[in-house]
Parts: sequence; structure tokens; C-alpha cells
Amino acid sequence: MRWLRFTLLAAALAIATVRWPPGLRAAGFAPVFLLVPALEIGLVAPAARAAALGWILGLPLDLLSLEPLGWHAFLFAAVAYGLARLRGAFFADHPVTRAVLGAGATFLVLVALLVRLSFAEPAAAAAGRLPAAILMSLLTGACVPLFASADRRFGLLRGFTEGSRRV
Amino acid sequence: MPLLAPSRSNLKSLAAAPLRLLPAGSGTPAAQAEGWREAFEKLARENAELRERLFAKGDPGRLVPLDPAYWARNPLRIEAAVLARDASPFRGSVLISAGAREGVREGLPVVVGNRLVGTVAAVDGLTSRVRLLTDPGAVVWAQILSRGGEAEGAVRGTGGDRLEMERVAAGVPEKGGPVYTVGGTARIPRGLLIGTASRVEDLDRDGVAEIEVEPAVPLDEIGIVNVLAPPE
Repeated sequence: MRWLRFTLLAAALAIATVRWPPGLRAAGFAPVFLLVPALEIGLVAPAARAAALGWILGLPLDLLSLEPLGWHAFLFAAVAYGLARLRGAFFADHPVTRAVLGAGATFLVLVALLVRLSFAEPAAAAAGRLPAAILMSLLTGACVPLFASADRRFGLLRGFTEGSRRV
Repeated sequence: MPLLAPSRSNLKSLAAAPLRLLPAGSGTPAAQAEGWREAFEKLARENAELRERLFAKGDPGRLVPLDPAYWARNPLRIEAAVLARDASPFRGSVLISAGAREGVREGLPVVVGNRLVGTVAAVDGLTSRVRLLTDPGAVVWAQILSRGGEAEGAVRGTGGDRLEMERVAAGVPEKGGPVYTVGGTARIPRGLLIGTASRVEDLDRDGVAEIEVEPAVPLDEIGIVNVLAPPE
């Protein structure tokens, strides 16, 4: 049942990502929806499980993009694993902490995307996209405590958090 | 296009056509040359006046030349709906509802009307992925029109909602000038409108203009597109 719930969640967020209306964007940008549960999983699940689930959440982005297959999956897995390993150093249950950690992790993912883009397409002027990366990081980070609240209410990630050490 | 069988009267008529532009009574080669020169200057003045009028009216797009050889091949217009946008934050592509089964091939231009929005990057049986002009990997060779003439350069996507035109000598391009495809390939014809120059500067004074191009079609809002497929 937990995998069905998780698949439906990933599908809904993938649809939101590719069909998000322009009118609901902030300066033309939207949160990285599929990264939000990956960040929350990194804050509540064991490290290996967080990496695996992060990888699964990144895969739809790879399949629906011109980026190479596996790149988003790898980045999502890496940040989820990193958060799971580092969360002991933070009071991760506080919404502000969640938002800040989420924004920071998102920024790392977006910078990695830009670095790869700058090597693949040298004329892309990837450095000029840093303000966009900062805005998207803030938007995504703001979604993490909201998702955590929804998870507590509806049990979106129930079954994946057992065995974790919460702060 | 079938050739008409040339006849003596056809050939005479064709040969004499340019002479109708000459003033009446011209006979000697020197007089003919002078007549040609005057006719050419008159046409050049009328052309410049027409350009000036269209630019002043804000409608210079009507000066964009067509590609008769391409359109004479009667390319297929494959209509497709945009199913989804690129999921990655810094890429610009869309998934459309036409694929190999409908005749879509890699590299074909994708248009809305006569305005270019991108090229086909990947093809499956029923769908295709179109790389939009705004994708950082998109590059199209183009020309920018201005009162003073035309200039060629490369139009590249930046990952945002604007395009940049590179390698254009400063002095010729001007703001508001239409930017269109140069063609020269079997697949992308000349004269597809790409956008309009929204900013033309040479801030570093190196003789190369920095040109920002606003796409002719708002690429965030496209719903139906056409893939132009000339017969192979």
C-alpha cells in the first residue's frame, strides 16, 4: 500500500511539474515539486532508504526532460542521502529549519544542473541563471514544511520512516 | 514544377522583359546602361522608402523574404498538441502528440503559423520532443532586418524567456528589427520569423552588437504547433 501511495504522489507531482500554469509562477519560476518529498524523506528516513527514494523521485524528471537519463535521479539521491546523514546536527523538526535545509539542498541541486549545462552547452551562460536558481531554491524550501505538515496529517510517507533516528 | 517547352516567342518575351523597365527611346549601349542605373536607383529609393514606412508603422515583419523553392516542394504540415513541458528547471522543450507514425523526423522545424518555435530533438512512435528556441542547446542561423539592410548571426537560447543573437556587426541591426531564419538547409526554410530585436547595444565597443531577441511566439503558452516535413 505504501508503494501505491508513493507512486501516486510521484505521479501527481510529475504532472504538476510539467503542467504548472504560467500564471501561478513567481517571476516565471515554480518550485521543484519532485524534490520536495525527496528533501522531506532525507529528514525523516534512514539514509540508504532516503537515497533510494530520492533516486526514484528524480527519475520522472529525467524521463520528461532533455537532460541525460539518471542525472536528476543521481542528484536527488545524493541530497536525500546527505540530508539523512547530516540531520543529526540540526533541530530538523522545526519548520524554519526544514525550509532552510530544503532551500540549501535545492540550491546545491540546481547549481549542479547549471554546472553540467555549462560544460554541455558552453554558450548557455549558466552563471546568469544563478538568480533563478536562488528563487527556485527559496520556493522549494518553503514547500518542505508544508509537505511535512501534510505528511503528518495524511501519512504520505508512512511505512518509509521506520528505523530512522529522529532528532 | 514542369518546365514549359521553350518557343521562339517565349524566349523573346523573356529576354525583353527587363528592357520594359528602361525609359522609352533608349538605343545605344551607353544609354541603356544609364537607363539601367537610373531604374536601379529608383527601385533602391522606393525600397528604402517602403522599409522606412513599414518600420515607422511597426510592421517590418512584412519585409521578411520567403523561400519559394522550399514551399514549392509542398511540405506537409503535421499538426500536434503540446502534451507537456520540460520538467528540468533550465531546459526548454515540449512533448508533442505527433511522432514517427505521422512522419515526424529529427531536425524538422516546428512552427506556429510562419513563426519558428523550435526543432524536433527526438522522435518516438507517437510523440516527439521539441527543443524550443529558448533551450540553452538551441542555435539557429538567422538574419536581422533593419532600415539599413540585413545582418546575419546565430540565435541562441539562454534557458530563460529571451534569445540572444551573436556575431552580428554593430551599426546595422536596430531595435524592432525582425529576426528570421536564413535557411540554406533542406529542412529549415528561409523566412520563418524567430522574433524581434528587443535590445541592440554594443556596450563593450568591440564592433559586435549584443542583441536580445523577443520570441515571436510566447513559448510558455503554445498549445498547438505544426511540424514542417518536406518530402525527402
